[in-house]
Amino acid sequence: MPRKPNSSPQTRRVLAALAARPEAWRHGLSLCGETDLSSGTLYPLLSRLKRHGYLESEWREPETPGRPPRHVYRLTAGGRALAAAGRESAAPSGAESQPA
Amino acid sequence: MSRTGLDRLAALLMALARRLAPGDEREWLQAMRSEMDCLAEPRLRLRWAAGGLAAAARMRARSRAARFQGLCLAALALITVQDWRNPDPTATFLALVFAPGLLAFAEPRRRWGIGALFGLWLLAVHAAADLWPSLRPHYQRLPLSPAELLEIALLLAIAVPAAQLGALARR
Repeated sequence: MPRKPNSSPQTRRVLAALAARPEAWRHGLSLCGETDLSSGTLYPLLSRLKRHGYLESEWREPETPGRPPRHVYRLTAGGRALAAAGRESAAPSGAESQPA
Repeated sequence: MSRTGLDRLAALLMALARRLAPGDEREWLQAMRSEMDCLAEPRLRLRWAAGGLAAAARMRARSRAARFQGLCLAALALITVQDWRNPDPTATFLALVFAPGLLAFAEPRRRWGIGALFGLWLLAVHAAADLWPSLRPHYQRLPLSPAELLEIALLLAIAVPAAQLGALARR
């Protein structure tokens, strides 16, 4: 049976970082910093999320001339739903009934 | 190590990672290479490149082709162990029918390669073991004669048709 794409804590961290600014395109370097994951962990996760249709990516021309184009990422609608589902399942039970 | 040396090593690791990654994942290694150029410190670039190698290894491990290669290697290892421990060739013959047959059923396009690999495998390992007497199977303390080598090579006549049959059964 295939594993749920949001089942690992690392994937949930990536989804949470991307969902924090869902409209913004993000670089791998900034995602590494925000999630505290190594590049060797982050990129296979991004690749899996894209393969499942939760992430979109594109190549962007660099701000500094002479640098290679950079790959940028953001969640699709399905990815945002997955991130929200991950947040709900991670929240302690009864949290919603707590007074504000 | 000098700044240039670290950068050369980082570039080498990224090139290795790109080669190691499955074909449909190479874009991700290209993305990692681009990001690496945005890091200011050579040590950070080297660390990033080491991550690239780890990422490529992970991507490869989960690719279907790599899993299939692992399955082939595991089957070959089992056949070798069985053949070394047991002087009766019946079990080896059966393994050389079923293993290539099942693997070719799973990957019909590779049936010729699977048949050749399994057919020639024991010839190769017996010939290699013949060079070091301590590695020879216990039932075979003398060097292999040409007739015995030919007998082992004839296993090709079992493995290749078995793979063909496995692939045929898939259609």
